[in-house]
Amino acid sequence: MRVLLVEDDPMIAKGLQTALRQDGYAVDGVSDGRRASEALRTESFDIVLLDLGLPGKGGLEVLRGLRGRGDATPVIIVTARDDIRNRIEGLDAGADDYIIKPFDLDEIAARMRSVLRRAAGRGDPCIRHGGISMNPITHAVERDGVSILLSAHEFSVLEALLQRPGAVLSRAQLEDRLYGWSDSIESNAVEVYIHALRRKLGSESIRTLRGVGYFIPK
Amino acid sequence: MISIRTRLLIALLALVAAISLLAGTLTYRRVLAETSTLFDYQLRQMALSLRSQVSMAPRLELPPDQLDTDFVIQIWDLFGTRVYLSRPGLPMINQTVLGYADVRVRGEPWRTYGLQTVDGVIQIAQPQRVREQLARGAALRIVIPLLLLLPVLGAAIVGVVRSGLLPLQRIAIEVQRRDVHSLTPIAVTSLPREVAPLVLELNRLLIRLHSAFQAQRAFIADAAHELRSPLTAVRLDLQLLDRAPDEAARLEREPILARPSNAPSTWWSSCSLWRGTNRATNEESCRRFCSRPPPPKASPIPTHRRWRVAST
Repeated sequence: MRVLLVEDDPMIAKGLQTALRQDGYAVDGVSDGRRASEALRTESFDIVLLDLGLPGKGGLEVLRGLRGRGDATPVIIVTARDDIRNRIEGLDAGADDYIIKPFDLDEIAARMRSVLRRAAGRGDPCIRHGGISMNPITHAVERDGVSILLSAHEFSVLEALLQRPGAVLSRAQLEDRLYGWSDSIESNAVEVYIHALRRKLGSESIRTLRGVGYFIPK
Repeated sequence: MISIRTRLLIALLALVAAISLLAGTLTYRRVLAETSTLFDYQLRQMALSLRSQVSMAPRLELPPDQLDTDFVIQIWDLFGTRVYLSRPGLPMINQTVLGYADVRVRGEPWRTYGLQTVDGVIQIAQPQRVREQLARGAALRIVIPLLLLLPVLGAAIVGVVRSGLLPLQRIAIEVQRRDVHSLTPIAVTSLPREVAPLVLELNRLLIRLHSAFQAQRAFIADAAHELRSPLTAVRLDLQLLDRAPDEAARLEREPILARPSNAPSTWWSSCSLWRGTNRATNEESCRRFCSRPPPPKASPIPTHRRWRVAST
């Protein structure tokens, strides 16, 4: 899952990035509103964590610009503004959730999962398809009731493919889900993870559309 | 606390009662004096009307219906002999004074009028008791209606005072009905001229109070905002420390608040705030965090960390 973290406080940004990466998210961070708008215009993210008090361009302005373009990327506002009017304004501007600082890492992770679940149109916290079941909370994966151990990156690749079974994701798209801007990408990393997943889940679990990408059959 | 209405009513009713009493007394006395003058005039007119009849005095007889009148008529001839007495049974007034006079016969005061004519002297007398009785009756007939009107006047005063103070009462009810937290101005429509300045001033005060509350709220929000960011950083740091699998990993993490960009005051306030707000994280983390030494006092505070509370 690729996350855009828009936070001007370097200490909070660094702490949050570390925590999210530990949870298996690919995190890209920007510290001002203009760069956030630019990133959202040019790249695709699964979820955005957006501070309101940003230099250059306010968080609400960024959010309104995003929704104005018809972009439905899930956005969680993470701010120190706890006034009820700010909360209403943020949610009415198109935010999917509103978290007030200081927050708990487990809570923000749960809210992110909840927002992602709703965005994917699922009610069940577990993702189930074709005998594969994965729990984003515990990172537990089962194949026909048998528990399977996956690395964080393998989990992310599987999660990306299981979000929309049948949809083909290119190598670049999968790399986007795995790595942030600052991460170094190994040339054949995606192939390695796909290979490992096929080995653990079965060779037919993930198919290749030659020259296009990978998909999980419907 | 006495209300304005009660105070006004007490003062007005007392004033009206005192003035009515004084007016009644003066009217009573005046009527008595005027009636006495009228009675004197009547005595004189009677004497004048009898002047031409003195020569016929021995034959003069009053009609039976006048025998019980209060007046006593005596006529003397030129030689001083009483030639006529209207009521023989009554005590004689043997004193003849021309003009008006007050005489006393057997202890009873009489009012007399003596008139000199060519044939003798005519005297008309009337008991003072009768005169006073009649005068008092007339005076009371004038004063009593005035006194009877006093309650009506009192009721009218109560009504006028009540209706006059209705706008004040309306404003008082409106203010009482207001929500405790409401700082919206009071409606100023259809206010009497005397009350309008008070309400306008009160509204100005409410507006000033509203602005002061807004400024205070903004200050608190700003202060909370400024405190929340370092507190969030501290919490993140602590939670990441909690997540670290071993001591080596913990040591690898750079303690956020030990960086030179953070002032000791921020460290301590964050520490105390953290103690007060985060009870979920384990006590060991708290102890470990708070046992860290604060940064040196010379550490500069970065511009973005300074208080941005505007003076209001």
